[in-house]
Amino acid sequence: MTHADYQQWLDLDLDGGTLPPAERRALVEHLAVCAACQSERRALERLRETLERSRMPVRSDFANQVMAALPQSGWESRPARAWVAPAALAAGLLAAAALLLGGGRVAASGAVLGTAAALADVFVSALVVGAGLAGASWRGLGMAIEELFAGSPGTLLVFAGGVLFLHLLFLLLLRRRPGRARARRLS
Amino acid sequence: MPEGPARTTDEELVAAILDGDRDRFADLVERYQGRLVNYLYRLLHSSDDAHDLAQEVFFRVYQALDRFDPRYRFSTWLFRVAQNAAIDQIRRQRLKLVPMHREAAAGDEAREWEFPSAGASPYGELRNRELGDAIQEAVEALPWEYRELILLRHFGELSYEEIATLKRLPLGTVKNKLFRGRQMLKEKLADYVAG
Repeated sequence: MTHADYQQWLDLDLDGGTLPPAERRALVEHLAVCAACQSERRALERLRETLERSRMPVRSDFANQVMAALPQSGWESRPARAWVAPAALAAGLLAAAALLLGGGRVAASGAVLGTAAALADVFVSALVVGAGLAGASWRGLGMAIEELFAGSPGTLLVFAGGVLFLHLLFLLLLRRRPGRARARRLS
Repeated sequence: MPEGPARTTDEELVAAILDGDRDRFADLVERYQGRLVNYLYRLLHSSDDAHDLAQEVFFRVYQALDRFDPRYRFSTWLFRVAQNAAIDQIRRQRLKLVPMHREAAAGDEAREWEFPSAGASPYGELRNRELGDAIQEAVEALPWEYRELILLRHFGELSYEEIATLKRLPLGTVKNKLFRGRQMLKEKLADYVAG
């Protein structure tokens, strides 16, 4: 064990006493025979005492001043159970949906089952309509391209030229934008 | 400093305040005012500034109290807010002080509060004033990485674990830096603390 180790243990022991018991025993034994460490101990104790004494008193009315000027906080105006209103609204909407959509089945199989069945019907219908629309769109696009390729080479050339023109126009717009921004900044 | 075992914890106080008992915030203020004002005073060198900023820190903490995460210690949160606020204020002060004679201004401010004289003789008061200046200079001379830990430990009275959490440092690093920081302080204050 080096002298520096003992000094570090000494420092730790004086500042909170968190030294493990075995190390503390070794330190006590070392201190009994080492004059330099005894001197170090006195210096560290005085340092702690000096820092302690240098503490400034707080103004006697400080806490009262803080409390008197304490601002109203945003969280104070919020009700304690902020989830109650949205939950009530959701329940109301669900009940309305049950009445409107599942009215016929409510009597037969209960409100909950009727609502679930009606909502499932709406969901399935929406899926079918969406799939039909998407299919029709793709089919239409396929037919248009097919017609284009089946046509004369001139038509194909015009189409390719149009696409190229659109690309060039897009690139031109992209290149112009920074210049405009810079001009705007300078003005 | 910790008191009896029946003492309400900081986290319980925060819960009570959030349940609508606004007056319990005064308990938190009283619990931390000494540590916070002293910590800020060593950073700002002005009693008025330290009190003003401590008040501001309590306001900020109160306004954000519903965002406090009880898994962490209230003290580390409070001192993190305080440290950020102090750094902002120091930056603003530096911007104002750059064209002026900085050393003279700092020396004057350091004398704003000294050790309690307790009826000491003029010689004793002079020595206290010298010691107060010496402590301020010694703390100021520490590199920031040591100074901030020394201030949190000896003026903010945070535990090693709290400092480690606040600074996001391993506990061993905190112990080592505090040891080295105190060694530096001891050397600079050798005339006053030599064994």
